[in-house]
Amino acid sequence: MNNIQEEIKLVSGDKTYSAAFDHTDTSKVFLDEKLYEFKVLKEYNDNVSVISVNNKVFTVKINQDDRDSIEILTTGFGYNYEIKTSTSSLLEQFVRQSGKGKNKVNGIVAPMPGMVVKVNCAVGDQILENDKLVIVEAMKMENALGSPLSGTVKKINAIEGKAVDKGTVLIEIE
Amino acid sequence: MFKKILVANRGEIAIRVMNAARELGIETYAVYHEVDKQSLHTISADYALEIVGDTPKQAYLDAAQIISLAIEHDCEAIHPGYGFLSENASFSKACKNAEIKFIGPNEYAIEVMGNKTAARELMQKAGVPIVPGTKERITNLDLAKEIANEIGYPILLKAAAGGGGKGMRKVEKESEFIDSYDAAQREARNAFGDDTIYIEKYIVNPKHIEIQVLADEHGNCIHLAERDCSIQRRHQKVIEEAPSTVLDEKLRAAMGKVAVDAAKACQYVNAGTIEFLLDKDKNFYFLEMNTRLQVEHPVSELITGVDLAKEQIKVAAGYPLPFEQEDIVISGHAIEARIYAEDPLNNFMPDIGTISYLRNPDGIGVRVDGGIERGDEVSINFDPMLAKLIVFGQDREEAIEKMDAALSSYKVVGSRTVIPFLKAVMQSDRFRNHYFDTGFIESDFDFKVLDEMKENDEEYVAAIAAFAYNKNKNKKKVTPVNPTPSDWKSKRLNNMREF
Repeated sequence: MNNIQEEIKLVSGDKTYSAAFDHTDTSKVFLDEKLYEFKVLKEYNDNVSVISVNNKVFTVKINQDDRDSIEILTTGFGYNYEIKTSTSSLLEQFVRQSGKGKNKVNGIVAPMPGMVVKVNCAVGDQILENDKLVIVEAMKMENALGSPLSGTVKKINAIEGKAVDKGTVLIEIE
Repeated sequence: MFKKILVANRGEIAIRVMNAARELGIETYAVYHEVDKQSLHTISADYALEIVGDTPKQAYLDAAQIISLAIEHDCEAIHPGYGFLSENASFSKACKNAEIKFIGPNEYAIEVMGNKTAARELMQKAGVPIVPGTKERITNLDLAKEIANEIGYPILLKAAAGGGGKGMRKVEKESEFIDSYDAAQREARNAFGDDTIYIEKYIVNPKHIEIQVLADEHGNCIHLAERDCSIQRRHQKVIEEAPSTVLDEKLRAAMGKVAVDAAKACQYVNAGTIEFLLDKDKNFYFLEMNTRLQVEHPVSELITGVDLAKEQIKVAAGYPLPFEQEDIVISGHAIEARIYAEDPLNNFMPDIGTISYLRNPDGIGVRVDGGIERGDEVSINFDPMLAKLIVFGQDREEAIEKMDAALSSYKVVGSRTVIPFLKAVMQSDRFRNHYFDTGFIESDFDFKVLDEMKENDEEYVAAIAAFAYNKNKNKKKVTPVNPTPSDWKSKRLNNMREF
């Protein structure tokens, strides 16, 4: 097994897989030490391909916008992975140790483009997890969005009557 | 028979109607807004006419523009599909005034059945049982609250001008009334331009049974048995089947007769549907009449052998119905599943994206009424229904197995869809043992099943991710060298000069 090189970790939620490769044969992947053999049967535009994995057939779309994350779409499900190589793990440790970190925004994010119909809170309100704080209308249906955590309303970016994009932070909570 | 028909709609139903028209030798004219220039209904029509509007939706609702296009191109008839102008009485009338045949009922039937309170009144007079509730339109909040108390909670707030589950809110107790009333009014105003609300008693966990009717212009009216549409989410249908497991011949005949009475009471012509609620004791109550062809019409077609879209066109062309009630015999079992671009693991949020890959299931008894092609974008301008998958089996068990198999064969990659959810329903005990009602999705369905389905292939998918990462990483190692121009042209000219 001395051809096996390059270990990476794939992280998805609370699951971590470790993958190793054979540098003489890219059709082999060792996932958590189990061998998976690949054949790309058919390729289409738009990163879609039909791949056999240990002879089981999968039709997938592979989205890899950057080196650190990859998304695999099958019919109905999307699987997202963060890729950690040995260098990126070191980098993360360094970043953590130097005290710098991303400011994560806690709050309600628009899950799709739409229009804010109603804001049910004010800055300074004490709210509980799941409280429905804002109603967004899209595709002719109203969706009441609940808070992912309990806390205090810090900032309200949603304005009644104004359109929002997917990913817009509507309500900031701390 | 008509020579040319304009279809005032889009997506799968426009295609459905155009297929029926083609079988009758009629030329099809589609209308499309610019956002639909590449849509399947536009590119599969014989003729495609562009329509304009401030928004795409407004274009499809522009009655005047559509009628003038029909006149300009000598289309003798317009089929309105479902949604859009299909239940717009003024559109039906405007067609009549322009001497263009509206393929549907006359404006009186549309008007009276479109107004839910007027419909309930008419039905009461016709001796059709109705759901206890308000008789007149409510515009006063205090009055509404009083009536709700009288009827007794839980109650259902519904849009008087509405349908399709929009502008509807269930209210469990008085303290929730005002918020729900506001929300219902808002949704109704947005969807139908009319915020009048009426109130009905909320029948706990009823079955939603609807009867298909068909009437010609010669006084004949028959029913084509029932559809069971009890699998709903937020009052929007998800799975429909025919026949219903809870109707026997006697109940079918009784409900069928009432449905025909209801249709006759509003002088109905063409295809329509009477919706009933069936309570636990098999009492049925008129809910509303849909004066158009419905999304789920295929299941009725499969168990009766009647092509409803074709019959609609023939009725509008003045032909009498080619069958009588006793000729309608049902056989086998049909199930339809609506393929929505929604993520069942994220509270069914619409998932917008490009359908990068599409492979429809097929085989004996498998039918896909689709509106999309590979490469199409799921648009935010319209409902995210990509297609309808309909199966037909000798009995319910076979139909369920076919649906389960077809859902596995169906490949839609690029946008999340409800396909895994539909599979899980097909595999659920409650659905298979036909012990379900309209509360199924909210109360009886275990979403953990979906998490398990997703986990089933997780290791394979993680391996695919690793494989793809490794491949791409290796690709990047090869630095592209600027290719030297091949110089073939000057070489060839030189050669020629030599001669």
